[in-house]
Amino acid sequence: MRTRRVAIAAGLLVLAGCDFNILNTNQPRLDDLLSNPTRGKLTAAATGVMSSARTGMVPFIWRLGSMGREGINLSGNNQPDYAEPFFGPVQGGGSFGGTLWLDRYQSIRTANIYLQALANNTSLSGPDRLSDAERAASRGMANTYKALALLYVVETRAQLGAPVEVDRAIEQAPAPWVTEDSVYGYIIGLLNSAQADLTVAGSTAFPFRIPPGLADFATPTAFLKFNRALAAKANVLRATALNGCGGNPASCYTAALSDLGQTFLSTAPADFQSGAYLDFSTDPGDQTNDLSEPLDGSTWFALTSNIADADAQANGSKDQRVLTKIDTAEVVQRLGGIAIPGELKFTVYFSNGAADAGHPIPIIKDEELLLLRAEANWFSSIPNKGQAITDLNLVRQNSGLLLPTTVTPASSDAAFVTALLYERRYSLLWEQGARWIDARRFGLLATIPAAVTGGNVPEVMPVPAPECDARNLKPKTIGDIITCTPLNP
Amino acid sequence: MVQRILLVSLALVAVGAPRAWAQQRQITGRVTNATSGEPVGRANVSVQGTAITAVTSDQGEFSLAGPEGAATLVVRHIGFRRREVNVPASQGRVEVTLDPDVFNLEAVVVTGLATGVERRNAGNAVAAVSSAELGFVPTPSLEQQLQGKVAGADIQQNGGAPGGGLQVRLRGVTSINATAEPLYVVDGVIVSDVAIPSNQNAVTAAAGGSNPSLNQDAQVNRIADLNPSDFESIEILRGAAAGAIYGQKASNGVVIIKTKRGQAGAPQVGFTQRFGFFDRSNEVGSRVFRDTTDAFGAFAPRVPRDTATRRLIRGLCNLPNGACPFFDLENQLAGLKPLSFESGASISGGTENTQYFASGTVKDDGGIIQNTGFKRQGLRVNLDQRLGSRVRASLNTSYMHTLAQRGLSNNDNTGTSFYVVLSATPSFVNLGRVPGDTFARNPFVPSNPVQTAALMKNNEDVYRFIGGANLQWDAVQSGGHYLRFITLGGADYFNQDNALFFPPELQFEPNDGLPGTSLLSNTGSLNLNLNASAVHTYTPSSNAFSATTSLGIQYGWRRLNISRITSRNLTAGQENVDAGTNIVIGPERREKIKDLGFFAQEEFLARDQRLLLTAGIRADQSSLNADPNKLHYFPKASASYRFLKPASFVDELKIRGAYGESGNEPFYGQKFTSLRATSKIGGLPGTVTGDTTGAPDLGPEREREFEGGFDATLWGGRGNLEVTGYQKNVSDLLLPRQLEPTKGVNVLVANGGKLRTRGLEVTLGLIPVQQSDLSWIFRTTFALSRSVITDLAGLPSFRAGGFGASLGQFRVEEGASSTQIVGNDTLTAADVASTTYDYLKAADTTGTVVVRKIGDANPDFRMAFTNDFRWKHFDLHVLLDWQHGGSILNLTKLLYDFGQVTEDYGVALRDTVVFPTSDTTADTLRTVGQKRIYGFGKVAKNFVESATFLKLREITLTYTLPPSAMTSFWRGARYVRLSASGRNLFTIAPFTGLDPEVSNFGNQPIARNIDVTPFPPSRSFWFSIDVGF
Repeated sequence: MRTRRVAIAAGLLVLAGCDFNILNTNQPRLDDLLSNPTRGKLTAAATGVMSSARTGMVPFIWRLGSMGREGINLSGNNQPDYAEPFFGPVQGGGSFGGTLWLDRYQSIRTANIYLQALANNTSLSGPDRLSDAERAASRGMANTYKALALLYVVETRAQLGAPVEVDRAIEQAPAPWVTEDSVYGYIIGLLNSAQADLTVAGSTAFPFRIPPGLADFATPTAFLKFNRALAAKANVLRATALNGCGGNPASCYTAALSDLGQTFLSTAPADFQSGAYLDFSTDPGDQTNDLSEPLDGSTWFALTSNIADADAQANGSKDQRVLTKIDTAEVVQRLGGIAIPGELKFTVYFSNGAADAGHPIPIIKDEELLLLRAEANWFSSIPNKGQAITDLNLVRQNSGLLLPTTVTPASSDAAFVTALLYERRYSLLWEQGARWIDARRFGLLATIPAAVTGGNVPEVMPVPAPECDARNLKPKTIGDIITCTPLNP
Repeated sequence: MVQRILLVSLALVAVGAPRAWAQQRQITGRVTNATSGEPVGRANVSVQGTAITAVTSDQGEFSLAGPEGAATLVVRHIGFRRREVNVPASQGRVEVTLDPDVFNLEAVVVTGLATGVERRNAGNAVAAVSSAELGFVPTPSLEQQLQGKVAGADIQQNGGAPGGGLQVRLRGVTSINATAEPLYVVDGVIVSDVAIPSNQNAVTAAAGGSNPSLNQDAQVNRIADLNPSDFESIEILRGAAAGAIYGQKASNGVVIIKTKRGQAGAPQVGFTQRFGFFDRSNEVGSRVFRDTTDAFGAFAPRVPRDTATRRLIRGLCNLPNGACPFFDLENQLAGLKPLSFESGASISGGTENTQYFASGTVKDDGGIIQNTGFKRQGLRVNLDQRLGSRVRASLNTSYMHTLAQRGLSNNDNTGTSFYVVLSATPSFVNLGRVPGDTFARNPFVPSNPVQTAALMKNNEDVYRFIGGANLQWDAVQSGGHYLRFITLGGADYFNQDNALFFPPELQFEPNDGLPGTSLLSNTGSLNLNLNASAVHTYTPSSNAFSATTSLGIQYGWRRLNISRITSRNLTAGQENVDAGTNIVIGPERREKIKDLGFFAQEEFLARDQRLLLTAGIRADQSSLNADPNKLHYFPKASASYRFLKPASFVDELKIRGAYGESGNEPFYGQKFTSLRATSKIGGLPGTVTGDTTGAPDLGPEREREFEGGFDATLWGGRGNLEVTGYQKNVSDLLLPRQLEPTKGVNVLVANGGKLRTRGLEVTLGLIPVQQSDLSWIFRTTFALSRSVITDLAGLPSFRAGGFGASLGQFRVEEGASSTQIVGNDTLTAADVASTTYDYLKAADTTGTVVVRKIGDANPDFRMAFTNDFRWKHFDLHVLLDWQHGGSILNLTKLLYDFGQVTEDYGVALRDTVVFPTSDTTADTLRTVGQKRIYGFGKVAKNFVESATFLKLREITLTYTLPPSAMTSFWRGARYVRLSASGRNLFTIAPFTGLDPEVSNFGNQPIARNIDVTPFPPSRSFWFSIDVGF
């Protein structure tokens, strides 16, 4: 009898444990999104696409800003943060040189997952099924963000190239590596495909909400202006890429002018700061803009050369942009490892005179469009150098409160580039690494002083070590970077 | 079928039972201690081949009804070696002397979930530590009590913070990425040893650097909650050969703890009171600046001229002639020697049917830094109850509260961690309190660790209950059959609260623009297990063999919930997390795990108990595996044979060999391919791709272990030698395949690859002197292991810990040692000339920076020496622990170098031109510090140091009051002991950091030995009184 009880008890135990499957208790399931892409899940996935565009952009700005000697990270606890950009070597396996990569490709994967779920949505019916126009609008948004992610990638790796066809299964071989020019070509292709989708969608409402930073682009028609702004930028950057634009840079500049015609470009100084922004917030679960530090903060500092290099206004004071974007640090930060004291702070991301971790960061703004137009007009196949100087002065006189430039249509290209890069440096200060990217684009890295004895301005960010490992490529030292070269193994 | 056997057996009981008591005679006797001559109470006396037993009185007297004719008495007592005495038919009284079981040879060791075997027969190398070897010097945590006592158990503290945080590594490397902790089983209940980070990372941002591991919070693994003085014995199954019975959870070994239980007899009460203190045992040191010129050279060089800093330095170096004062900053921070105490009481006793043991303990260890320390209060009640003649029930309950206050140590990226700040503060800055009882502001880094320690709070409160109930039913016990059913249910629940508070007035607090930080984390952990076993032993009347069959089932359920709140910008400095304006909730983690194991085992003891053969199998399924319903099988087998008197000086020699398999589970969630739901923008919730994904066939790692060796008892029990060699082949490693980031998923976790660990363990015990008032017992353990990655499943080498090649990192690489450290290194002319140098490529020249091996964390060997001297009423116990070889990455030194305040920074170089390259700075290097800094990114081995150490782990001098003196003033006293003891009183180590036992990342399968500004180590001194009555 007792035996039987024991046997029954044991049997019950076995039965109780029949199915041991426990679904993920912490996160939404990918297979669930793909197999049952309801409207609600797609909305969250679309928001994720827009959200992921910010991830890693704070490091993007300070890392590029350090290489371009706009600022420096003096927190002092991760030495490569100042050692690599100022002294080199910038290492693909390091905590400085190996970054600004994964976040962008995760953003692309997030968009690809969303696009897949969107395609699978056609198998649903009823209110959960999106209309064709809604799907087109959604595709237009996702492909625009994919293009943006690749733009940020190619800006850092430049002539080293990058993979673009990355929508592959985990077990598949690594994506092929393509040249800088091909990356730009791919970006423009994505943007054009998005343009077609957005045009189809027209005035249909997006089946998701647009975050505040894109408030000006809240319908597919309006979003198209953001899309074209990125296309214009991609074309301009492509023109100065290695063998850019298939060896015919002028044609890319011409294309950029055509794109600019469909953007939100405005010559009104009041509109200079309007455009598309990455949102940040101190709300729980959101991302903060950590670049916004109080004046007694100890991490990011502006270099004094920002003031020294600035032109003077007629009244003798410095370029207005320097005055509004830089202030004196309340506590001077000194590190043993580097002879640059932290004496100046950026106030670019201040709100009402104080640090604001919820301050947005521009993706592309009107002021930049004007400078893109100036560059494109100067160099396009049918140059309009007068318009180029007009746009340059528009920014110079309104943002910097400076006297007009001395460059004339008769000036050399070099003189124009110097003038253009000056305006870009101060108009886009601490926003997107413009000084470093521009100096490289025009072969002028040598004009950026090293700022430290024995220092060096790196040319590009290296290929991250895991990419080299996956392709069995050994890193080597090239100039001041340690990288593998997938294009030229 | 089973039922029929049972019925037959029951019938046999009915017939056979009365026969044993047929003819009787009275045998009386006395049992005494062979060395001291004192009576041995509560010894078990049995007549061999019968069920007749008796227990001696406190005076050592026994009396039993023995059979007519000659009989053999077997006399046993815990702590003594068994004794067999022949009693001729004519003899009615015997005097039996028992030798102390110095080498713990009489222990019964575990062979299955419900079975054991005497140690002399065991087919495995046995590592058992009895309560007599524990408790010489009080420690916060169990692991410290085991340090140096078990060959092959490498036990190291992760940092000096009070209250635990130690790693027990059994038999070297077993895994690269899975858990590193052994399985802990207390009275049959699997208990949690999880280590929950405190979330201090919210302040230190340690994970914000190049290694995103959150395990840099100096977290405590929860075995620290247990009170070591409650333990009766600890048995350690070091590898799969012994641990296979625990299947999928056992590949890091199993630590089986039995707590003390009551014995029938009058109540016995014990009191222990200890007082002591802790004292910082080592320091990093800091550079002495001669005068302003010296300081200018470091902090304000001529070009570019830095007037502000020069003015600052002139103000600080204000002694005559601009000489700089020297402040011992480490002493300002960590110079406390607070009074610590431990009080314990226990009572045990019982009747024939009911026995009890109860204990209580209160412990308070002060910390060497203000607001640090460790407290424990614990209560235990163990009950045993006989229900009729065949059923025994036992109940074990323990409740404990621990409070660990661990300051702020380890890596940080915000200039907050104590030693990180010291590494950037020159010694002429006074960080102590200034008049008016405020704190000096640190002009070099906006953070004053002395102030931080005084005002911050880092409290880890754990309330924990562990309880188990055990029911054993002797269903059949007759005719050579013995059938038992054993069921055991147990629960381990704890609640951990981490409350961290950094008030707004801390110098570093305004740095983030949000002054004041309060962190609150709550963890709830529940482990439930349920075992049911049936054990059948058959011994034929010829006594030719005995065969034990066991079958069983083990069910487990685990739940772990962790929630966190981070609150910044605290209103009026209020600590409540809702007082902040910037409140972040989460991350929250929930884990649920279900598993089920089946086991079957056959043990066969024959040839006059000289031959033992064992074979068994365990099958496990778990929700942690990708297929939760698939059974994974873990077989084992062992054999041993004892030779009696094989040589004149050898009493007994046992040859043994064993094979077993066990597993290491995937972590919770590794099998999932998920989205992250934590991405919000503009108030809108979004899902983004997860970082990792699991292979569709993810399962446990598999360890296959062979071990073989011999145990010898020498010179009439005066010597004991155990030698064991083993080889562990671990396959199906849980490898995170670092995907190329362009895939958009960082990591794919899949089984694959192999590693092999081989090792040798020797334990030698000698009793050179054994007289009634003088004895000397010497024990030594020796262990070495070597591990190599034999197969990486086609994966490229990858980082298994550390911060990056420029700082040195662990790299797992096919064909290389599992624990190798690689880093940037600059090729010398000799490297380039070498043809064997495999990293060399045509383009490499002298001065090229390459990544290559710069060290190996694995020690060459470890040894420990224990000496126990007894002279009259004095006992002296000395334990020395020695590790030889191994490398440490001393990144604390790197930080000090960056701050230019390393003790030797200013020591002049003999050869001023170090790197004769085109670099113009090379010939300006004048000091060793400058040379190391110059080598940053180029010569990572500048920061690799030897991990060799010799520590005086334990020293205790005990005076036991002679019985005559004791009873003269207190008749009822059983013992009164006074002792003075110390722990880690000295360390001899070439290491220039704080302590060569260190791990910035806590418990790690591979990447220990990374030193990043840990909590400073301490030694402790104790005075104790133990009283028993």
